[in-house]
Amino acid sequence: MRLEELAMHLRDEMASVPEAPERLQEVTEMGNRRRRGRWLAAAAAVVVVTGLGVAVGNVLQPRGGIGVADQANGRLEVVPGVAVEVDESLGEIETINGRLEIWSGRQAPPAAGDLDLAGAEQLLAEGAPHISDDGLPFSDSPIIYLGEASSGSVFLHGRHASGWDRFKAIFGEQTTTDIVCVHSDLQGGCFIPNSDVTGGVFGEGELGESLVAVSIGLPSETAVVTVTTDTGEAHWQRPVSGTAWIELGDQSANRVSITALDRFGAEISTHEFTLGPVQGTTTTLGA
Amino acid sequence: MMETMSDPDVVELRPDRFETFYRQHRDEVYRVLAVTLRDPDLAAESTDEAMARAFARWSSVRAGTNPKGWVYRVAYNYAIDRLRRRRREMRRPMEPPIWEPPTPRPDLTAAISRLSLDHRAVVVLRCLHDWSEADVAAALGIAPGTVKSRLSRALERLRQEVTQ
Repeated sequence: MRLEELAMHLRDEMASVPEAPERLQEVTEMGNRRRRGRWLAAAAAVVVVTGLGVAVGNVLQPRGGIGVADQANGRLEVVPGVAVEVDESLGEIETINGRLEIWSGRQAPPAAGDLDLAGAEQLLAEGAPHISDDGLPFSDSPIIYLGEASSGSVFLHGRHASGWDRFKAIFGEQTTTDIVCVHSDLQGGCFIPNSDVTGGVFGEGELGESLVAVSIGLPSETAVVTVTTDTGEAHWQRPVSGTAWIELGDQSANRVSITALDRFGAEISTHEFTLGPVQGTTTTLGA
Repeated sequence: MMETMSDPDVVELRPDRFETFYRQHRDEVYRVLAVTLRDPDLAAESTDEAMARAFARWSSVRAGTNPKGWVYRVAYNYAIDRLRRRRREMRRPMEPPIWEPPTPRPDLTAAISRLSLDHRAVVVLRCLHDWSEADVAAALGIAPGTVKSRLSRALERLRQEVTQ
């Protein structure tokens, strides 16, 4: 069988594939929902953040401050609070009946399926998936949220019943003492971890257009919050470490109301703020 | 609780450029996937999903070296994931291909269908796209040497199965 002969036949096959109508509008709507879902998933991943934070703490000694990479020893300090977006072109994390492991170091040979080949990498943390019981379709989420780190690489391993998949996330530079930016090969974003700054615009690229983080010390029994702005926009999310995100849209919103709900949907508390002007990468909140 | 927020900013993700990309490449990605998967419905679903993800992060995807390859790879991985889930849900091996294209060489079509999905993906990308081994390896997330060995085995098997 010559390649040319095979190519000609495959072109015949390709020509006989039934037409499928264009669905541009539906696709862009799906894309918009996915983009929104990335941030909603961020909020919903609080269990992952805290769970992994604890797991990582067993391996690494925190030094205080924002995560510091100890490249010489091939390890990364990881504390809760940062989102890592994986390169989804490599696949999706599989968490059903699976495990999630975090590795750092040089990239292992790409022969997936044999953990022994990951020799150069150092296991940072592992844990049972804390993802599947949040009532959100995490198996469809392209994002896995970890603890915080700065430069270096983190490899994510999703192991499941029929094998395991491997992903790589690149941690970017720390831009200021308060804001850490995180990059994957495809996307990036910034955040404010445990900061005294009560709000800040997420500062990079598409993700930085309209997002503000608000740390408000939500009650511990908070399951979800509803966020409503005076422009009439509202959405719900799960907070991470007492932080809610507000999507300002065209940044014309002046006031925001955040209502904390428990797991049964009962209102626990309501927090109302006035949004100050955005200055650089931060904004201020007032009562 | 329902999400009630509509966000006008989100829909302004440079739709003009994405639309051009979509119209240029969507049909080809769909058809190549359909030939690979032997399942046009799954190919269409996977292409839509990959295109949606590309739209959601269009500025990054566009800046990459091979946006079409990216979409193909996402779509292929999505399809694989769907097939795995079907297999787990049904608790039995992956279903055989459900569609075979009508061609002047039904014997060759059937032989291609009998290839494993891994081998068929390599054959289709290498022959239809005339991609290099490195490009195919990148698109499928495997090593170039694996591309070479899979292609060699697939061709050998086709030689054995097809009546000359």
